[in-house]
Amino acid sequence: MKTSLILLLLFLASCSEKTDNETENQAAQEQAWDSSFFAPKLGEKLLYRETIESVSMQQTKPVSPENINKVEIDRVQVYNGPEMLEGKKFHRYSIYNDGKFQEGFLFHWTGELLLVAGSFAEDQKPVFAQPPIPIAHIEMTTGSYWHWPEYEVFGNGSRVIGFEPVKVPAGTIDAYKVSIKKTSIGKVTLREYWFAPKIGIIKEKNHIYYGGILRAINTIEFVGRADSDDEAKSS
Amino acid sequence: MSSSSETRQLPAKLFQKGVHDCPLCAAKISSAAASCPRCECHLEEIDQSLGTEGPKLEKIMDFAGILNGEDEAIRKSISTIEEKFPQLKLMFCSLKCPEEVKLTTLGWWTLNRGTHSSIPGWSGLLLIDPSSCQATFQAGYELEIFVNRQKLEALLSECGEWFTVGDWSGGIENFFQELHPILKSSHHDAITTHKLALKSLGKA
Amino acid sequence: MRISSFYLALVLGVQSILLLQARERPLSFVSDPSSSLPRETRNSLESFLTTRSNRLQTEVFVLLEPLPAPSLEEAKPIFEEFGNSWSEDNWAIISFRPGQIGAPLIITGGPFLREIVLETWQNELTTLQELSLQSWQTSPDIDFLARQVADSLAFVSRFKSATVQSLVQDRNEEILKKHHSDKTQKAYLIAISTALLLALAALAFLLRKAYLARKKLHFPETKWNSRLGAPHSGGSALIHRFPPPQA
Repeated sequence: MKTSLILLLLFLASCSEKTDNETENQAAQEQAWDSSFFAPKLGEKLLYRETIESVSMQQTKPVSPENINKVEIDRVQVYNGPEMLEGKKFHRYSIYNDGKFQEGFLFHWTGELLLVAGSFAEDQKPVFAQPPIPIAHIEMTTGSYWHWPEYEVFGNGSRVIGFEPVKVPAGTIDAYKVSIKKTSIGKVTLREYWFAPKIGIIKEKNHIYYGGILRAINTIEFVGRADSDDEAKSS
Repeated sequence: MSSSSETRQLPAKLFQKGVHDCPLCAAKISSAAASCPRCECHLEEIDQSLGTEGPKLEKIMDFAGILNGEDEAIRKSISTIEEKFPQLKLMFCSLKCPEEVKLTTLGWWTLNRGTHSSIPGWSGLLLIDPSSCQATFQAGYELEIFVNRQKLEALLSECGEWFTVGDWSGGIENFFQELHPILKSSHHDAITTHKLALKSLGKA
Repeated sequence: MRISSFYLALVLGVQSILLLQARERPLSFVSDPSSSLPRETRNSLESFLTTRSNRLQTEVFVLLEPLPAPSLEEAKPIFEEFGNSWSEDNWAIISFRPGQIGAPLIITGGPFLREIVLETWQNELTTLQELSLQSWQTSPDIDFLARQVADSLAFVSRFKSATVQSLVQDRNEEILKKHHSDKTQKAYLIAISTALLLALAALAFLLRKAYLARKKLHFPETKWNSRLGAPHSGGSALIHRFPPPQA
């Protein structure tokens, strides 16, 4: 009887030890993830240039250069830092167009998968995306693909096209190219973005077709980093 | 006679809307009339014909024998009301009324001269004379304030239909069963009136 | 008779020469003898396609020249032969004669064709052809088309071998499952809460009913006057006369 009790106690002790180890590992993982892929710095500002070329909805072919409307916007993406919400860690990003708050995003990093988990407006109140949208995976490669029911998110699948050098105003940077195509009645949207590890999306290009003609090309390119007033620290 | 404890007692006329009538000649009389202005009716005069000692008042007094021992349901109906309204004492009596006496007068005299252990002001007596095919309900000073005369009349009329077919126990049981919701409704109205009156007097 | 034979030999000879010439792999991925593409666009496209070939072993040839056959249908098998002889990897040929009406022709080939659903692939190419026609240029946007075809080819060539796909897929399915189970859980919670609330309300109602049933009612005490010298009851003339019993 005594022996059985001692064995039982030892077994229970080993289980709790295992649990402690697991907890430690988890904590360790959280504290020091692979920063070669996703490594935002608190307060860092990434500068972009956004160019929108468009024609009116009434425009038909032929399209002359005078019919194309071009707008250029200075876009700044600021990393506001990590935030615990509903027991999970999110990373808050604010986007400013020509100095004015445009929108905010919540990213969730699992240690291997980066997702757009939600958004927020000027009131800072988070609105969670259901389901969250994968942006990049630490092991993604050409041919990688993830899909979800079309009615839930933009497009019905993301394709990783390749890992290639991309020329942007900030220089030539190696990045993964991801392509998403969405078709609906009379409308096709082709979205491509280039994700550079440790930086994020450095280029995005959207072609929007409607009524049998290209209606808009929206290009966002990484210009560079701005000096941050805050002391940079890893999250 | 007035009841005691002036601090929480309100005048009866606040609750009772109807007028009183003489149990002898049915003339309208005031609430404090010493005698009937028409027939000069006074209890002491009735005592001269019926005496000053009435019967021992019980729940069921089937002197006329119309129930044939089937009084259990009636007893239960009365008990149900008395449990709900502990103040009340309800009774049933059947008898052959003397020819020279009106049934209403007899009922009135019985309530005043009969002996019972509870507060007589809250008493109510259903009196039936099967031989003359009459029924009356007489109430004590306190109960009569809260029981609507018209409803009682309607109830007696309804029970009369039972009596006509010879179902005495059914009719009597029905009377007390239907009296229960009438009393509940009266109670609700009375409490509301009481609260409003106290509030307006600044005593709430 | 001699003259017709001569002309026949001439035609056959020319055709053979042409065929011989076309069988050789082009020196560059973009063949544009009439310079229909702006120089910068052509150089950029060339660089892009070269990188694709080097990194991903998918080769896209852009031929901006007359068809090797009088019609598109006749040209298709010829292009297939070209592609298979030019490349051992997965390939595509985009053919467009400057000034032609309609979308450029796209022919693809290579080992990947054995791994995919052909109809789906053809639909994808058709969509790209249509999109190229919807550009702001008067002619199809060859640069856009070539890049899109190259991207699609690179993807489908490696689709099955990509390892992260299942990881992302599983993760996404987990997310979706969790999302749906969260939704289901939420629905269950709402249903249970509603049922509990209703049960509580019913219980409260029954308890109140039981309480009211047991509750004793007291009429208010009043100040009343006696009348007719009667101590307990003032009496009334309330009486009902009923028809005699018929029994």
